[in-house]
Amino acid sequence: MASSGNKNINAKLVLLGDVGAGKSSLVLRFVKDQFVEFQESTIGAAFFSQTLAVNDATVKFEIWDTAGQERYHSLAPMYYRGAAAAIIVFDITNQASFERAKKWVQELQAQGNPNMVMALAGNKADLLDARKVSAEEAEIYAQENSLFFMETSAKTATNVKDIFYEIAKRLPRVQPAENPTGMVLPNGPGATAVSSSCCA
Amino acid sequence: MPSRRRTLLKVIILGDSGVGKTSLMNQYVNKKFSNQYKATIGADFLTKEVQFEDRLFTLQIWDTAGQERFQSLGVAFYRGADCCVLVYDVNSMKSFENLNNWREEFLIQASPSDPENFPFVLIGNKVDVDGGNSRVVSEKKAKAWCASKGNIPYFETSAKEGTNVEEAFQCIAKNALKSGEEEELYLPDTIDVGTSNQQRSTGCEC
Amino acid sequence: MATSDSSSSPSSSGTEFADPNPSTDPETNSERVQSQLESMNLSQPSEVSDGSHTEFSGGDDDDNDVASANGNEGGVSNGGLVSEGVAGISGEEEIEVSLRAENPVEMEAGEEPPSPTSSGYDGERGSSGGATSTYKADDVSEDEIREANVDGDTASQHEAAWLPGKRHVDEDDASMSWRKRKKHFFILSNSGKPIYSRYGDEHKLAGFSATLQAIISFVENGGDRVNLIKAGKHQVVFLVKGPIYLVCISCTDETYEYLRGQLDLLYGQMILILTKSIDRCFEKNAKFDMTPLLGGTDAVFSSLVHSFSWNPATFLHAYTCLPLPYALRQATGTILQDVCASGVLFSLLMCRHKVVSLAGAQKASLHPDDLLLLSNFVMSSESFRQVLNILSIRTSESFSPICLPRYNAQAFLHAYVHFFDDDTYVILLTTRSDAFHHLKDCRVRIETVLLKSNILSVVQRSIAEGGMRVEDLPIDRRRRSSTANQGQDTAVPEVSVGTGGPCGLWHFMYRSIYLDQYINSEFSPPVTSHRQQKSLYRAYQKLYASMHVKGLGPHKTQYRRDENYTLLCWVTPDFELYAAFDPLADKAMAIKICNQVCQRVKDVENEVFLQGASPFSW
Repeated sequence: MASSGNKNINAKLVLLGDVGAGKSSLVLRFVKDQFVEFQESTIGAAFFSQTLAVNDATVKFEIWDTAGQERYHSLAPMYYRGAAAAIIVFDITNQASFERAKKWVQELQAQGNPNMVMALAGNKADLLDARKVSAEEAEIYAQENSLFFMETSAKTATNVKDIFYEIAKRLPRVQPAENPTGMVLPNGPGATAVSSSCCA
Repeated sequence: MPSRRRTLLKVIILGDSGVGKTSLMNQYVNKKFSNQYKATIGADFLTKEVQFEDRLFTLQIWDTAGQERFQSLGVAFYRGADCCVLVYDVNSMKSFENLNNWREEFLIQASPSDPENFPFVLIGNKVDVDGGNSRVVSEKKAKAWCASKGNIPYFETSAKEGTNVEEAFQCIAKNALKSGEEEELYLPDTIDVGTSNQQRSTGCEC
Repeated sequence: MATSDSSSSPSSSGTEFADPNPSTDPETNSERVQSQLESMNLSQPSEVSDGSHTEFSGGDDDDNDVASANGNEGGVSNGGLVSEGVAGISGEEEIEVSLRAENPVEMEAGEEPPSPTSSGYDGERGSSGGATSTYKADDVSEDEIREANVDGDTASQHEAAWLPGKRHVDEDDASMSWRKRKKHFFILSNSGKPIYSRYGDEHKLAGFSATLQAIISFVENGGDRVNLIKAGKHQVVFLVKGPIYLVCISCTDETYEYLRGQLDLLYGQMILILTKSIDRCFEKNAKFDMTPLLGGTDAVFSSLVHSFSWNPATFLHAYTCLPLPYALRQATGTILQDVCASGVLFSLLMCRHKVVSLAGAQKASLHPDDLLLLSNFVMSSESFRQVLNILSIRTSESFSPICLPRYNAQAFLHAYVHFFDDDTYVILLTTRSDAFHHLKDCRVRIETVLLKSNILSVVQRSIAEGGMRVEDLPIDRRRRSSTANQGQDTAVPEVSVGTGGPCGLWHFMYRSIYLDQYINSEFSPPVTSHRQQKSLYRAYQKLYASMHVKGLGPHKTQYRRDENYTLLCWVTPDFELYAAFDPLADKAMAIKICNQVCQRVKDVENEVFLQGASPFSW
């Protein structure tokens, strides 16, 4: 959920997409303005935060860069639970990754926060010669599914900031914070939460 | 970047000895080792890569011996098979008649979850022998059998001339695509707080 | 030529422990398996020439050594091995097939189980998302150089020669080079479908994988279970864990028990990544192809396999600490305990594979094997570090599902991982999937303590300067001349400064049984190259195995001399000591030195061990 007060917004944002679509590269570009040609496969999920100023607000993104590996599929809800926004990433040179992206969209629509701002990112837009997914096709899909679509390139930085900006603009401004983003603090040192078992 | 998904298919080759299963495989798979151990352990094992549409398949081919003494290994050998190829010799009525046994035996031992729809392929081999004159099983007869068993795809081959063998295996890949749209099988558990059983293992020190 | 001696009980001579047990139908089974192996066409390594004990083969790195050609090329032929002059599997060679009659149960009662592979994507290899199928040589050599500079510690030089991730993905069982590898590892399903292979492309090895399944099935069909096959210099070790089969094919002269233990760890590594929920996948569908689930984990498995050659924890099943001043360790211990008290299951502060400190919630215990697998996983997964270039701020925080096989193999825990610098990292384990922010806060608290006491630089210094050194042992080198002596100078083979410690002590390893920890001396001349270190660990492992042979009763001491070392081993209920000396070392002096080593360890135990941290009482 996005919580607001004095136009400071905290937003949990999750990136989902097939292996190698470029999720980590997009985050890297956005957060550190860097690009690595052979980015290592993410394990589990990596966490970053980055703040953006838009016209009327300051948005602090809490970014979950999830692993695209198959073994994490069923665990994804853990990462997108309570997210205010999602970027579903596919590789424009890889049709299969586009199909996967559609599955993610379906899943989010079914299981995710109904007010989630969703963006579809067609990444690797710099590899035009190898394109397999047309912009039109993706655009149509996005419109039909209430997402917005942008082609990005983490390598050249094309549209990377823009996609985050666009999300920031679309985040609800007046949204009471119902559930904090997953913070479960115990009452104090030594006090443990609910459990009757010994480990927590 | 992953462009094509690779799929591994376990394919069992069954049929009477002498129908030419092995030369069929020799023709199809560019083998580097001769098969020494079919007689001893009951099967030869081959790997063959096939491309179908934009997918790559690796076929793990189990070329089984026809002999009875290896029958009890069927459960282990057939386990997890994605497809079964039945081979008979068009010049041998017996080898054709035995197909029923082979098919049934396979279904019993492999016990696939959906036996009615388990992908089989039938190959009628040795069509070239004697210019086709010693042929005793007609194509029509074979196709009728195939139809009666759930429309099994049928191919006629001559291992010598290599006709149709490639097509038969392409068909296997195609059928595999149909039958296996994978449901999400892997659903790992996470420990739930509050209900967790701390099963601590007394691991043995090796 | 080896002589061995034991002061209190007979020692074994350290040969392989593969007693051939007659199976129900010995001839038929052996023959069949024999021909099966012939057809697998394993190549024998060339004979090792005398005198070069460290020369296993011509290669420079680890078990990836390909047996040197020496003019003997294993030929591809119509079955069987053709290697001239080399013992091969042929009619003349005897094969010991060890078929241990066991109750064919899938799992031993009460046992919980102690994986880097291409995924289903042919474009994806290892943990590199790149289009190339092998690691870029440039990247790797950069890493190597950096590591060598950082520590300069000769003990870590092994890293320089080793390339992380899977290599040789173009190989399959038809490749000569593949067949000459000294140690293979395979994981396959009970249907014979390949899951993992150390060398080569799993898919290309599908036929080979099927062969392995057939061997296992064949023996099982006879009411038995195959554990070990010896064929010439090769050992083929099998381990069945439910629907998962693990096989090691090795001509490295390691003991059967150790190889089996390695398979156990390999399995454990797989469970850490996936949990035992995979068993259910096979139950639901025997066709299940598991390979894609291990996508991106090549580096994890290859790193684990590599550790079998340098990390004694893999056979001691204990962990080791980074030597630190007691007060600092206490400080870190305290903050970690606080963190655990706030609802964290395990808190670990690590430096590479060594422990700085660790703590667990009440009644939770962490098995050393789990720690080994966990630190291997974290260290080998580059993505945890996200060290990009000098300018980047280390904001790496990861939150990943991880399973501890010995703790609970059925389900995932969640691990928060953060690197403070290239080598030092914290792992916080929780059962709660929503605990990320809490763990983040805990990390901040830990970091505050680290910064306040400047612990990170102390840790770096400890890596650089190392721990105990044989040269520094405050031991009187001179033999006291006793009145019984003729007054002559006793000819003690003194080693000159710089080549070992007193009386030719080259290295020692001390294990505290109660604490489940061990401490090594650092490596120093003459044991400097990776190969020599590996060779020494192999010797220790054999010593360890021979002292712990089941059914032969606990031995107490062992003294063994061969052309490479003089080895001494001492086992008591409280500790074990392994020591290596110059081959010419004097026995009586060696024993005396060992006593003094033990005393020395006791003297510094607060610095080299984590006290009060035995696994079952935190």
